[in-house]
Amino acid sequence: MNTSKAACSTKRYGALFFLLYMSMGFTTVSAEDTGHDILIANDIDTALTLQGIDCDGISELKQSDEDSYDVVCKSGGSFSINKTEGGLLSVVDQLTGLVFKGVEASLGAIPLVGQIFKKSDQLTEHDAEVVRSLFSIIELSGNECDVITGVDSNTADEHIVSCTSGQSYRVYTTVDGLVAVDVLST
Amino acid sequence: MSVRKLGKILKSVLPTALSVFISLVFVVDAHSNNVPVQSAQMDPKIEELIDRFAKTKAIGVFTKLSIQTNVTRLHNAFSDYHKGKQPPSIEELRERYDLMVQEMMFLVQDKDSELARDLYASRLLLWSYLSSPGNLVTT
Repeated sequence: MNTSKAACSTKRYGALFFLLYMSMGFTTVSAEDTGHDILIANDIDTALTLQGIDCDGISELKQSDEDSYDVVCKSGGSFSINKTEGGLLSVVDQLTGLVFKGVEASLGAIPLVGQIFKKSDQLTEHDAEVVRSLFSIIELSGNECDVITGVDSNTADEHIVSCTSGQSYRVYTTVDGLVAVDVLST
Repeated sequence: MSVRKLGKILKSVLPTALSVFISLVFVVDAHSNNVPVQSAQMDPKIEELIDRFAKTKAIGVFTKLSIQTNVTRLHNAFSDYHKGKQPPSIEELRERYDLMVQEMMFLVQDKDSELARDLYASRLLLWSYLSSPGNLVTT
């Protein structure tokens, strides 16, 4: 009888231990998933910024397919992100349905640039690309520039960028060979 | 899992795209599927730099895809230029090239500052080497 009780008790504790182990395992996996999602969200946010899209962080992230994600930006936009067959980034604006593969040599390939650079009547492809690069460097540095109103180039490595609401920034390469963004006025 | 898979694909595709980026003076059909052939005289240091950028963990897979997309757009602009289409002028292309190098440096400099500095150090060398008529590559 005692042996049987002991066996029963061992089974019970074994089951408890198993449940505890499993729950720890699930907790770990869950934490890993959350960490993984944060990494993906930050990665996609950077990818969108490089395309000239002012996302201000990802508030919702959903994997829609193997290499595709649907995201909602903190700034309000919703986009579907995926990899094209040619290995490029495809961005679809879920509100307008516009597809931005980003390789067509047209201004429309640079999403939201009209909002970034409001001189749309004078906008050339070159202007749009310069603005897109400067916008992404400023945004990735943690500064804000919703709309670029002017760009002055001092040298190949130095640009002075003016934004709406008065901010201006100096984007340049330091003597140490690193890129810096200085706030000139706020 | 899918992101890992994407990473594997990128490892194979990105070096080619970045080669295109730094080999800016190509005469290729922008809309063809022809893959530009690299000059046989490509400096091993440049190849190493491309490989390091493709493999760096300082940036994620989608960021690399986004860079690749911008690189392709610049490559197409160069392709148009060599077909005689202007604008853009060579000075404008140079400004875009410089800014794209700055973007790439900025993306990696916090976590891989050595790579950022090496990109900067190689920038002028790359431009002069690759814009030399002797290094023009046709398909």
